[in-house]
Amino acid sequence: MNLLSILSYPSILLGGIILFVSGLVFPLPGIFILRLHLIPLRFVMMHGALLGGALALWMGTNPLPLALGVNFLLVGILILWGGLMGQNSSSPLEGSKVTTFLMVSTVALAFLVIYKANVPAKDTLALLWGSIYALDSLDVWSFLGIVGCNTFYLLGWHREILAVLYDREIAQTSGVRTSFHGAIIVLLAGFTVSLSMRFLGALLVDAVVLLPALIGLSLGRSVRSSFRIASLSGGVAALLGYLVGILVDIPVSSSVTLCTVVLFGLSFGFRKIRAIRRNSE
Amino acid sequence: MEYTLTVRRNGEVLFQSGGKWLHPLLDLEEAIQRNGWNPADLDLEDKIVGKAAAFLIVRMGIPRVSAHLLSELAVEVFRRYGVCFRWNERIPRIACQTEQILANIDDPEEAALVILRRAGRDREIPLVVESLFVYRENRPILQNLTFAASRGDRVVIRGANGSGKSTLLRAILGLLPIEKGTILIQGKHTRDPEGIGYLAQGGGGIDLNISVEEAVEVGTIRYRCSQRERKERIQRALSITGMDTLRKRTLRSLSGGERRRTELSRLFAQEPAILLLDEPTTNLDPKAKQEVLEVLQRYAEDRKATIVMVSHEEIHFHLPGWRYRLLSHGRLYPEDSRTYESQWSRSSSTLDLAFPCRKES
Repeated sequence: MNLLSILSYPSILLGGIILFVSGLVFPLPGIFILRLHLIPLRFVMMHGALLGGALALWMGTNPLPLALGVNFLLVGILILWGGLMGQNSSSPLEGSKVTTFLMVSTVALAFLVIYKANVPAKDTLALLWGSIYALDSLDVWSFLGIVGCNTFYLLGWHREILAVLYDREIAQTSGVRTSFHGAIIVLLAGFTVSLSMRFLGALLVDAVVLLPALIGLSLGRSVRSSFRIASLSGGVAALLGYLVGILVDIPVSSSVTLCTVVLFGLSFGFRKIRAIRRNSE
Repeated sequence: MEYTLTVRRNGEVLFQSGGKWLHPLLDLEEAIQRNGWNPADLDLEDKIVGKAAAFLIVRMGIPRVSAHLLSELAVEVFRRYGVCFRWNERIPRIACQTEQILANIDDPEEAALVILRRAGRDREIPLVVESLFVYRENRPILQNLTFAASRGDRVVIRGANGSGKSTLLRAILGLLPIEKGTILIQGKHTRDPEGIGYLAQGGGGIDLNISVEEAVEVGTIRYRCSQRERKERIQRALSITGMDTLRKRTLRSLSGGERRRTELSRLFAQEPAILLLDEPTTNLDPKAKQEVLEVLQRYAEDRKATIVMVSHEEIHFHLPGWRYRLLSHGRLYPEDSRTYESQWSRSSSTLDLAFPCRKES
């Protein structure tokens, strides 16, 4: 089967488009996650998805709304408790306390549901693998929603975002409502990670969300160029990975991850060369 | 016209006023700020000096005073803050309502605030901190602190590490909760201090690839203006600090002094009425310190902005036209003028006083 005939399958083409757009857009909240030290949020969302999945299997419903619902609740608790970017986050330790508490309690609840309701643990964990070629209309609408929200927020509030990424206190004293933007950022980052897991699997979250963001942050010579590079490298890696996955017949999550890793390695080399040139000047 | 107040520098008359009550002293404070005179160089001659006048003189940092009529209450204030004084006649107290009101006040800042209010000049004060209490982890850091900074006022607050200098700035900015007290910014009770520019200790964004231009752009966020106006504002701010040629560079590629100048550009882009600076030259080499101070001094003189700087560095204690305050035990105190006593003996010979007077030994 050649590439064109494979692409003629609507589910595969749709999966490719969603993967490519994810590659372009999802690294943008990835920059928030890396810059604002929200990495624990990613793990909280994974645990939340596990609990949501267990509940969905128990209730025999679509796991996506329940996983999103649980994660929405967790993000709400994080914002209100001030664990990550909220008003009361006095130290990273405070944030760690809250995220650790939420992760432990969520996974405990998930296993309680799995044990008491006789939900197959393997099926629950399988939800974390994602399924880019088996998306229903709810998945697509959720995807379009999160892509739209991320794009709208970034374009509409780019100066405020710039200030928050620069320094939270300076942002606050420059007239930015940091609590509001902190909440929006945690919400967007949380939902992007949750949906990424559903579409792309837990493995691909790092490849699509975090690694391109890392490339952008290390190569960019300004915050805006960091966003542009992150988006571009995410899009390129997703497209290449998708095509390589089809052509070589390997799981798309693995091929996208490999392509991102190669790009990351190239960016690392490029940075080194740039530093050597600068020093020699 | 008969002058009640005369101020000289090395015998040359700089300021004279025939105004009533404490208005000549309040006008003098404005003249000092306007002209950038160093109060330590000034000799003041006043007709009547009571406790209120003494507090204003101490607050301005004038170290030598000659009074025709001097109250014992003023003498107490002068002795406490090491002001050298001469008098023609000493009386127990001035028969004046202000003197009565100030009878139980020991803090020159608190006294100044009372006087400014009685003079109807308090609306002109951009920054008022009154009876402020701030606690951190149940430990009092600021206790009953009162402080007022007028338009164009330049104040250096010094104090030991942990004395609460940064806490004071952060409380003013609304970054820390306050236990008790009032903070008025341009006459308004606010926890969103519009019109204040803040330079944090150490600065931010060092671990982020943010360009100089973007860092300065942060200072323009409050302004709803066109892209062209915003760019012009950024350009103006960069020109003041001489950073316009480095606008495309990242913050992390700059030297410490250049980073500080970028931070100052951000503040200037904000065009604030009040600048709060937390150790603005700390960790800089002497040349960079000098550059930053020159930029600040130039801005202060050109824009008449109110500047409050906290510092523990010696280099900040000899800036012309600045007032100095010591933060200790949670309160602000004027600097002790005793260091100027030796100057008194030298300059007293050049004084041409309008009345015969005695000098306290």
